[in-house]
Amino acid sequence: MNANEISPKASVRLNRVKKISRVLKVLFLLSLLCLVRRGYFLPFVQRMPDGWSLVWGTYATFSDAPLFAKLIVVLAVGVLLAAFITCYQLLNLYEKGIIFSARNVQLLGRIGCLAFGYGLLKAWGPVLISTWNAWIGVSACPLLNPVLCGIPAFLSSPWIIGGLFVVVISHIMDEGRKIQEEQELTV
Amino acid sequence: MNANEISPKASPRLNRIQKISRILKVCVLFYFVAPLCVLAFNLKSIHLASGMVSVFNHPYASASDIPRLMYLLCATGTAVYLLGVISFYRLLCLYEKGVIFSGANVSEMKKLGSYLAGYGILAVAANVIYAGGIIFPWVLLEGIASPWIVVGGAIYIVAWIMDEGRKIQEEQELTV
Repeated sequence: MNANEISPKASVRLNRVKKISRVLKVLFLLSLLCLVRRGYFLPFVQRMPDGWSLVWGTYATFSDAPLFAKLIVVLAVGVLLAAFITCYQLLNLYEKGIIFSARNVQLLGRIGCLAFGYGLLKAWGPVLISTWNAWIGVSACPLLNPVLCGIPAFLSSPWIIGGLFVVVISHIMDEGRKIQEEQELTV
Repeated sequence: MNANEISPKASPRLNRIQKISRILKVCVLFYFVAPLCVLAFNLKSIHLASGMVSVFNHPYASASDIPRLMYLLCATGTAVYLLGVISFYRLLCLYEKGVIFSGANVSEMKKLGSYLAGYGILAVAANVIYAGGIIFPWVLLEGIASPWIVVGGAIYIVAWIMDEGRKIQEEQELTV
């Protein structure tokens, strides 16, 4: 058998990876469509019996919500969309049989950063709104202390911890990949 | 130069990985041990009887109001959480040793992913108990949107794909 030829066992494995990636891509798109169709896509927004809940504040109508809260929702939508696109790109690479390339590691790192960003918005959203309201003079002082509320929320957010974990793992994998490449080149 | 020798450039990279892993290990220990210390030093000022008790972010007026099933879920959740921390610590230990793409790494990553997703499932089960029944489609949506399940599932899938890639590479190297 030629050294460059893919062994039958490896081919089966590659096919399995491709099949799973394809199934995941379909599931991914279906879940996104379900969320959009049911109107639950907007993050940090919930329809309540007596109004709207926006970034953990309750308002009678959507337009009553402060501009800063809406800005946080828009930012979160952007982060989520970017994360969806990045995950789709990563699954595309897996489907092509590319598993340990630099692009894979880069996409993994990006997913970690986006998860971290989403976690930051989720954990610090209410604190940011309260501080903003105090700064523009809507309330006399911030209702939520940025240190007392922000730090515990930051440390207990699974998005932040998970995102950081993925970033670190991708960084270590990148270094490992570079070491392997350099080892192969060193004769 | 021998083909098996580590190139001069690779060694600083390995050192960097080891340094990062060591720092992370300290951070992990601090992250999990520090809250326990804070709790231990403030035991006198905690009045569980007069305050609210929260299980899986669901408040109860007193400890006697918590259903037995919730206690079971809480105990299982704590055990799963601790197992997850141990897996993460072991993974960092492997990285510190310079083992990056081995079967042991993948196994630890798979375990970590399973524990995270398991914790998420327990949290969804706690929501069902607190709500007093399954409210469709909220339960399904919570499952899809739960960060524990999403992150855990993603880590498990990435680890599985890495494992398959590693096996393919190994088999390719053996095929002559």
